[in-house]
Amino acid sequence: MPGSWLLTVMRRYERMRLAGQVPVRKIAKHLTARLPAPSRALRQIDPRSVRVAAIQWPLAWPETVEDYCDLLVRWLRPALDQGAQLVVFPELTAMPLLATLPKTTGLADVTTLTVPIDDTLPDPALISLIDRASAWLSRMQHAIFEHAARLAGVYIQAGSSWVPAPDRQRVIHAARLYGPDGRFLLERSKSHLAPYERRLGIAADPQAPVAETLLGRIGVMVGHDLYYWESARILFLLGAQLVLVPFATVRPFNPIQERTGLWARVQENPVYGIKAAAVGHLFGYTFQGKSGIYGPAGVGSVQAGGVLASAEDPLRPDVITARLDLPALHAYQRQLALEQGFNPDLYERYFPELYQRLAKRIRERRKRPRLPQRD
Amino acid sequence: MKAARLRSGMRRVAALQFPFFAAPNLEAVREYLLKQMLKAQPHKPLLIVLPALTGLMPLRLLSGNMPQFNAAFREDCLRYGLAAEESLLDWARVLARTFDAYLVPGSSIVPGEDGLVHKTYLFDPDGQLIGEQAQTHVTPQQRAVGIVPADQFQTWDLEGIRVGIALDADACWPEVGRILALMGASVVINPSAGRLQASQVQQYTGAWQLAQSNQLFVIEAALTGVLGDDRFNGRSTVYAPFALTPRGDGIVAQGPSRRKAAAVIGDLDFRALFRLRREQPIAHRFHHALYRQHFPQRYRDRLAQVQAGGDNDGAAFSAAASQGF
Repeated sequence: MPGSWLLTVMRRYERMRLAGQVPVRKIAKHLTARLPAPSRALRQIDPRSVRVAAIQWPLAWPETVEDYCDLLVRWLRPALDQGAQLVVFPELTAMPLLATLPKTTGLADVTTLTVPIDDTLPDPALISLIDRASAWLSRMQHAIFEHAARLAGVYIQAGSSWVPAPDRQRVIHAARLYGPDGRFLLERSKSHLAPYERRLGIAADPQAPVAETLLGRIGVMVGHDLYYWESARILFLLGAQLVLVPFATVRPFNPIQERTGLWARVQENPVYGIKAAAVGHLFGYTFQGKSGIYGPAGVGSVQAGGVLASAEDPLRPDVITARLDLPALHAYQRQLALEQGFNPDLYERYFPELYQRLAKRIRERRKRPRLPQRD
Repeated sequence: MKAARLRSGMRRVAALQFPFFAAPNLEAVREYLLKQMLKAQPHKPLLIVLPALTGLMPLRLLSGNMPQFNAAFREDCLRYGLAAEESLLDWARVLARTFDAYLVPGSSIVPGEDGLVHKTYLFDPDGQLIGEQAQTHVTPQQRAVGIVPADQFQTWDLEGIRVGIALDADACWPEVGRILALMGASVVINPSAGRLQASQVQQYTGAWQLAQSNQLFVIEAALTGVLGDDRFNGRSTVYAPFALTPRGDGIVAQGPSRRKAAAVIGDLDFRALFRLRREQPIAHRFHHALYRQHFPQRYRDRLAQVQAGGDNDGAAFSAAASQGF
């Protein structure tokens, strides 16, 4: 219908106009002043000692984009000082940039939320914000982290943000990886969305890219993906050796639940895992850690427990680092020969059909009127 | 013996743990199994699970050889496996009836169409064999003696409870737990003969992880002690999602120590389980498009790549070490 077509065109125009207001030069200049010399960490690479860092980053609304960049550098610098070659930021890292949206947009101001965002949904103003500002947010994140990675001279996994999907029709929650020359290496969409994300209209993309880098093959999962073995298995099958996870949760830290996340995934798949957890306050939530770096317990260089590094306090910002031994991982992978244990005939019988049947049951259940629950 | 009366929505199960018994004759094996099951009797469980490899006790007597995973063992299984299985099934029929409980009497290794098959059985309280389940993911040691994986699962309804079986190492494969959960299982039975491993990894992987990832109860009955050159870790455990357990550690009940024979009794609270599933539905986050895109083809791709020697990490590491940026 002509009316809806016009609406679509207008929305697209608004998104582009807003995205065009990203102060790329200001960002570049500000970061250049704060990161004047690149790290030498990647001048010599020893695959037996790949140095990685996870930033337990404090989410908070900045006053200006310069404030945001200062906070970024403040937490990046300790990682660089410790010789990190790869730095991972948490989930939602770019979301605080919403506080620096040009005030003339007339879009909802999420910084004024005093209750969890989940309790306000479905709020049309918030949904409109995500729709209109995602392209702007994507450009902001790209401008900041592209320059940060190049100026720092290291690989940076830029946390995650709500950005336009490749088809430009939807918004996805995506994590990006940048190379030490600032090159954009991959974008991975969060696969297992929270209910509030779905209510916000966030979609999930099924692509699972793995980037070939000087530090090995890197894959990314986002947030709660780490509780679903399917995500990590797919990355292992695609050849990932390092799996990066920007993560954020509001649940109090539980050491038992910790064993059901990335630690478990690297025991199931012989890969290294680096999780950066968010702390701080955003969208009416208080986020808690802990960040961790994990390896398969059978790798010679990894302690028996499979934990290479862990943040001390789940509520405080932190930087944790570890050294990864890739030849040892490779030797362990060959010794384990996990692939020899696969049963493709079994998987063909049940995948993906069982999932599809479940999806159909869930859809049908949602259509049915709900009876009151008895305990 | 009727199952114990518990609070509505609860069911009692028993996971036995005991060492392999090198008995002097078949009757002694039968008495040994009976003696182990008597430990569970006062608790009147609905379901009793025995550890894996119980069928090797009659096999040893028939073949005259102590079972060890080698070429001779393979020959013994081919020659005597069915007869050993027959003995185990005969005892199981009687034991299930005697104790008026569903029974998983451990497992046997028998000849199959394409090789040896490691399988277990499910009996109802009338002593009827209602199902069998073979192992679907075999270990390198098992593969070396000719054990081949099965490619199918079943689930059964035990008085309103849907159960599936993950035999031995199957519990270590997340694919297995997911398939059984998607088939509707609320309980997964795991007769196991796990080897000794690093304790922290062992505690939180395998059957424990299966329970957490799929919001299931898992009943692990573990072989203990020594069998030939192998030592078994034998700590039978009943697992549940950690939010449902008294200490929040995912353990409903656990055997005393790795060497002792015991009956581990666990009360499964299905009301609590279903409430947890309603309040925290993991399936609602599934990404069906992702699974459709990658499963099952990526498994075949990876296997083909490895078999073709395409995993060139060794060379890649040398190259990376000589470069910088």
